[in-house]
Amino acid sequence: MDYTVIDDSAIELGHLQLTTDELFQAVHRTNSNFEKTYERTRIMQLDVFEIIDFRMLSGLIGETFVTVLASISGQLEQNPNIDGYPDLLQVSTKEMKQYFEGCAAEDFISYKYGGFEVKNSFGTKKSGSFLLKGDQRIRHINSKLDWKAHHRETNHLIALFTDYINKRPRIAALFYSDTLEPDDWAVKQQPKAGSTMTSFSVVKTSGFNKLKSGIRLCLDDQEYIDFCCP
Amino acid sequence: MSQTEANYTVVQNSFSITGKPYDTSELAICVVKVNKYLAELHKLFDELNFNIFVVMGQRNISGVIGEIFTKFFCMQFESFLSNPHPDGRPDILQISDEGTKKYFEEECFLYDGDKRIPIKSKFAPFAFDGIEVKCTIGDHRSNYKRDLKEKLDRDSFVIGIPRIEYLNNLTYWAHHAHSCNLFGLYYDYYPPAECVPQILAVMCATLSEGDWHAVSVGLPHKKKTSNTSLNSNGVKKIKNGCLLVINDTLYIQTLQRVGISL
Repeated sequence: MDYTVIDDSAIELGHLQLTTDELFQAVHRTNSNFEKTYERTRIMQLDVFEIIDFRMLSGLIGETFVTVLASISGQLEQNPNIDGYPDLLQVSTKEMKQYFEGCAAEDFISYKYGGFEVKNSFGTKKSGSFLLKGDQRIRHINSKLDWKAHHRETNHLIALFTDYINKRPRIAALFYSDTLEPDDWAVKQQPKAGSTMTSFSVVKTSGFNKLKSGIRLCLDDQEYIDFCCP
Repeated sequence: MSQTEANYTVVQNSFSITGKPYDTSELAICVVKVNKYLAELHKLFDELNFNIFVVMGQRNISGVIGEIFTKFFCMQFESFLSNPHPDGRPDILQISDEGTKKYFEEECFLYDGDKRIPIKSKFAPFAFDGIEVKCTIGDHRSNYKRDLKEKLDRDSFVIGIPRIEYLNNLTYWAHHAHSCNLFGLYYDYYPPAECVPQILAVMCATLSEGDWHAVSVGLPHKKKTSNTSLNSNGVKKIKNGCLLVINDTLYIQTLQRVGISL
């Protein structure tokens, strides 16, 4: 399947500009990486997507996209601190580059020059529906996509929606918003003892609508266009 | 080295799960298959200019190695199946008699057309025995930064740097403090395998709830989940349960130094 450009306006942040073409390249390369992985591991007795649990796969897709986009854009660096914010750091001027190179680990927790956070969602299964790993999900998920963050201050968010197409994970749409506010995120949920979840905050309908209105790319398939576009 | 059975020493010839004995040499075959798979995975992603283990992140690598081990273990040992529910426990189910087989097939799944859906309440936890699989690269000694700086001019560990010289202890973490049979895998970024993570020792112990510390819930601003680790009783049991170890003097001596019985 190909992609439709829903909105070709560049994403701008300070001195930084990300074009739709750069975003498309990052989506395409991320998808391509996962396609090759699927094909090659299938012949190794064990499909790698059978091993990686769903939550990790969603994170892996987000991280892969971050790695790829940082390599495409000369104005972004991947945050080297696992607890840092945001995922992609602005280094679009000489001053920012020098600052980045001189940062200690704690400077990346809340990076001075900002950048973009990246989140991925496979969608939340509708109540009563049954989905196994690898099943296409578009018809079985809620119309509101749930992206989760570790805090409610998440803004300048590139939000990905991924689905399985022929058993392979594929980014189906890319959304963006730079107007998210704390009130667009639900109150943080603390997991119960014994849970495998971290504490998290889910985007509310108001935040989802902001992201939806900032959609840039979508699979060129009517079902996905109807689901993703405002 | 880590991809040939002959390069592993069998420390205990057999291990027992619910009173049934199993051959450690079969376990060695399984470990070698896992190591080969990890090496192939690395090579596959390297061709795509991508270090899969860097992208996974240190926090996820242990879990993925455990999952791969679970799959290959179940392929190697007939009476075991991997838990089909993503939140299920234990990781490996022992389906060794007709009664358990019947329960597994007839009571643990819902059917939707040709789809077989595992029922979470039947698999978390499973009503019969099995094995939990945990994997660790070990805890480093407190003065590791100074040595790391001197030897490698680095301020912290990165994926791909072997940690054996900085090893201080082995700890296994879990989300629940339950009685279980535990496989404790030890791995490192193994230099003879181009610093790909490789399983270098396997330990086995039967644990009770009293062998774990109290469960602690993750902090709000951090990305840690709720967790617990083995207490001194649990650590003693697992360290006395080494089944297999790589024939590498550095690793053997270091593991002995941290209390593994070899």
